[in-house]
Amino acid sequence: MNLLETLRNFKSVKPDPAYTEHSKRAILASRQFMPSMNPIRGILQFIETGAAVALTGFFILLASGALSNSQYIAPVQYSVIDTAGIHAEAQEIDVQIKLANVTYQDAALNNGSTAEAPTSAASPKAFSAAMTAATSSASGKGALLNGSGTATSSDAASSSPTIDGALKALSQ
Amino acid sequence: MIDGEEKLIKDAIRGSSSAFGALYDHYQPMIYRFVLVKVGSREEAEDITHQVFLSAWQNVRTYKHRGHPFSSWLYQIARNQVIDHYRSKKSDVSIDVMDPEYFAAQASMSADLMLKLDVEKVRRAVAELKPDYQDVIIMRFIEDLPLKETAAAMGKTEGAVKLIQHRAIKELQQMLGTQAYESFRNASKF
Repeated sequence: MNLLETLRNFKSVKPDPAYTEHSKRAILASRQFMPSMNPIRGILQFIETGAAVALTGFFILLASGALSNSQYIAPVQYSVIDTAGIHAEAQEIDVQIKLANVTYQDAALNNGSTAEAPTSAASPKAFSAAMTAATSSASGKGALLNGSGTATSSDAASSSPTIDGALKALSQ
Repeated sequence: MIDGEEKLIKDAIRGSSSAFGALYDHYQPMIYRFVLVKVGSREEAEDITHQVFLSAWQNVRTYKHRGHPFSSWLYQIARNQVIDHYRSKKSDVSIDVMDPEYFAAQASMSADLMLKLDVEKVRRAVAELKPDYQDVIIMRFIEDLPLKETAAAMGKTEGAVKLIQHRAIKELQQMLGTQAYESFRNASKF
């Protein structure tokens, strides 16, 4: 069976001419649906459309910043902003920061030995050698230091090597 | 598509019954066949086809030309009418209830007894397909509609229609045997 040919034979199927004529006459005799022409509904539709268009336009202007100069609509007025005051405030904040830095640096200078110790400890062998040299040159007798460069408690009282001393010895 | 179809549609929208009458004369047979293959009963096909064109005439003002022929719109109405018909009936039309001689009798003008039997066999097989498969088979292979027009009538993409067509043919192949499928494969439509 050739299915394609068989299906094409369906095209010979035609509706009954009497039915066709009767149906056509009945259809064309019926009325088409007309769109309602109620004037109140038309006015309401016009208002709805107008309001939608106006609101859309307003929000577009608002979003684009075009209303920022308006005295009544803009949320923040430029005239209200005290630029001199803001500038002074900014300057003050800057000064406080500087003062805080000065305080920190002053404290750092006062505690220079303790502050610098951890950095010197970065190379324990060099530090240990320098300390040993400084101690021996300063007191004339060898000071006992442990391997990590920290003075033992028995020597702490008799000799108190400082970083400055050690650096001086190293430079010599 | 009829010559000057756009003008006929515009006139029909303005209320010209003669313009709509011309559209009716051209498209009524194909819509009738479409419905008939789907519902199987001549009386029901006539009722539904009448409803399709009545609805088209009453709502032709809402028709918007989107580059597809008027037939796509009519097929859409017909599909909805058939769905409504089955919903209201709450049951499928049994093949046994259909008029078995109707299709064969229509084909008898140009065919022998074997062809009559084949037509009836194919009609039964198509009637057992899913509605979408039926639509594609009718539009593509009975009415020879192009893919684009079929897609517009079914509210689907051309790719989706191709897929449905492939599945519909496969299912028909299973129902009717591989010999029938070979005739499809040999056809230039693939």
